[in-house]
Amino acid sequence: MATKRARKTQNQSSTIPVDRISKLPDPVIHHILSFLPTVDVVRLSILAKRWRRIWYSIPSLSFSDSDFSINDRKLFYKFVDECLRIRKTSMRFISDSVVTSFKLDIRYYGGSVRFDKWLSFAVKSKIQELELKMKPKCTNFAYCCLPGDVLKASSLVDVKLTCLKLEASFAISLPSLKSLSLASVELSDKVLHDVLLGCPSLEKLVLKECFDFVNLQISSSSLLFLEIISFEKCRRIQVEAINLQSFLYDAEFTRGIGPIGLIVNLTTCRKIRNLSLSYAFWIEEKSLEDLILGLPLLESLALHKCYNLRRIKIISQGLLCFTFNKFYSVDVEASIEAPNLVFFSYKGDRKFSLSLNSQNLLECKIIVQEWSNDHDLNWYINFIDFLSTLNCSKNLSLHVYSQEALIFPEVLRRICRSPCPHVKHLKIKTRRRMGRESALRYASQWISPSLETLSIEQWKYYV
Amino acid sequence: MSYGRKITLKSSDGETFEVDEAVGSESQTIKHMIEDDCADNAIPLPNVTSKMLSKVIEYCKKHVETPKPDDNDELKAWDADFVKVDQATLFDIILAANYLNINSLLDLTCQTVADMIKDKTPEEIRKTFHIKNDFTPEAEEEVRKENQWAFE
Repeated sequence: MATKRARKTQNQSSTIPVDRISKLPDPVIHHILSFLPTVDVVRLSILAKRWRRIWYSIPSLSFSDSDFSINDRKLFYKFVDECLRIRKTSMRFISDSVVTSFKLDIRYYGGSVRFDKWLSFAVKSKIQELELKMKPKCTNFAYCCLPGDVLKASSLVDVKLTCLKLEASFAISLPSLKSLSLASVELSDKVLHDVLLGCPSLEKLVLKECFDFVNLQISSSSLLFLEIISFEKCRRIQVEAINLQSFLYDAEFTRGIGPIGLIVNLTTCRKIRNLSLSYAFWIEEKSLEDLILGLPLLESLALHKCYNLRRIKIISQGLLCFTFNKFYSVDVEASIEAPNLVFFSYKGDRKFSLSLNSQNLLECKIIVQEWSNDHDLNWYINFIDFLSTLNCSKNLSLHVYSQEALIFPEVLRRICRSPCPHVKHLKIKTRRRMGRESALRYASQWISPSLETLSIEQWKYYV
Repeated sequence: MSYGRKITLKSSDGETFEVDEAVGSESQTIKHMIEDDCADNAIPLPNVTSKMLSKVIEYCKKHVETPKPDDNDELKAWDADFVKVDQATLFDIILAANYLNINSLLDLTCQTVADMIKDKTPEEIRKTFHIKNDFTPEAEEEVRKENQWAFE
């Protein structure tokens, strides 16, 4: 007894809490603090001597008016003014005090003098990363215009702009810019064209909800990644980017059903490896076939809720990964000839017929959207047919809502052949647990008699 | 499933770990050593203990094995569980991720610490991290005055 007690006190004394955070090297502390708004970092000055002047040399400045109470705009403006004034001074006296990242997220009430001054400080400090979000105080209020200084900042590498206006009158020269994201930005086709001319090193471009584009032309020989999200009035998108590796189109949040007659021309982008089209109403059987024919290096294809795709024919030598997310309730037929396909994922209801020719398939992930009155004999027969097309895969992952969906009726199990005799590893995830695990296990053995591993889980993230 | 060849990593306390090249390449430090052809024998990592190295390898393996377009919610949940460790371990992982130059792990762990700081009063922060307040009352008052526009 006595020895046990002695050991206990010994353990307690070795767990004296140690202040490890203050001992972290400066660059690591700066990285942690880069995830906090600057006002919080300044307030840390009161913690202890080591923390007093840390904020004088943090490389990232991040200001948001939501960190201050909504009625205290003046206080917020005063805070930023003071902060920048002190940083300006400290940069003269502390050699490793630099600003590399500047973020501003505010509600815009008009005026530009103050913001021009702040951005001028950022540009003069040679920042590399700029994030600017200036949502207007109410819907019809005009956007703030981006100052010309920013468009000539040779140090900028990564720029994200939200709710701003870009005018044609400024000369644009951003030789180091690698990544540009414009969300809800007012700019015309011509201004975007000029921006791209001024960014000879641009690798990533994201255009989201920019409603002024009508006839969009994207020309850039350096561009590798392009994302186009939710345009409305646009009639035509022409992309001339011979080195483009990845193209993403998503019209999910477009008001109405979006541009149906949209023409998207990617014929010069023959190096595309990753293609993702979501809510692309302009793509149908023939245009998809032509598109894929022109992409000999295609490795990954994702088609998500493209309403007009009723028949899909995919012939691709290099395709490794195909994800298909079906629009509810329309009948779709797909025929896939991709000898190197390694990963196939499907999400949708059972109005889907598949013909698949891929001998190297490693993994199939199937998310079945079903409703509990679905499960009549026809439904199960259709499901058995579908499962048998996936027989060539080594790993099969089935996500269903209810366990019933996989507990095939006794009569079918007697007269039908096992659909997946070659599948070795089966993973089943169900959203609802109905206590029928053993029946499910039994059914799984029938689905794939040569199973090596079986796992049955409840899945929290059913979508 | 194996992706390419295997490499051997050696921790500070002499333990060796064999991993796929793709997993090791999640670390920019290791990736450069592979590219510079220094990876034929075991790669020595004198700043990383075996306990930390196995944690880091667990993270890299999970991230390499998750197919990119899908499973982002599941991966995020896994990440959230991965950082549910005691403070000492968390800081050890930060230092390991910093030394090995694994950006996503460094971001994940630093964000976790930042979340522990956010919305806390200075006294609460001191308590959480066992920071000793070494200001005299006069010095503390001086700091408050200096940055009063932030404390309003």
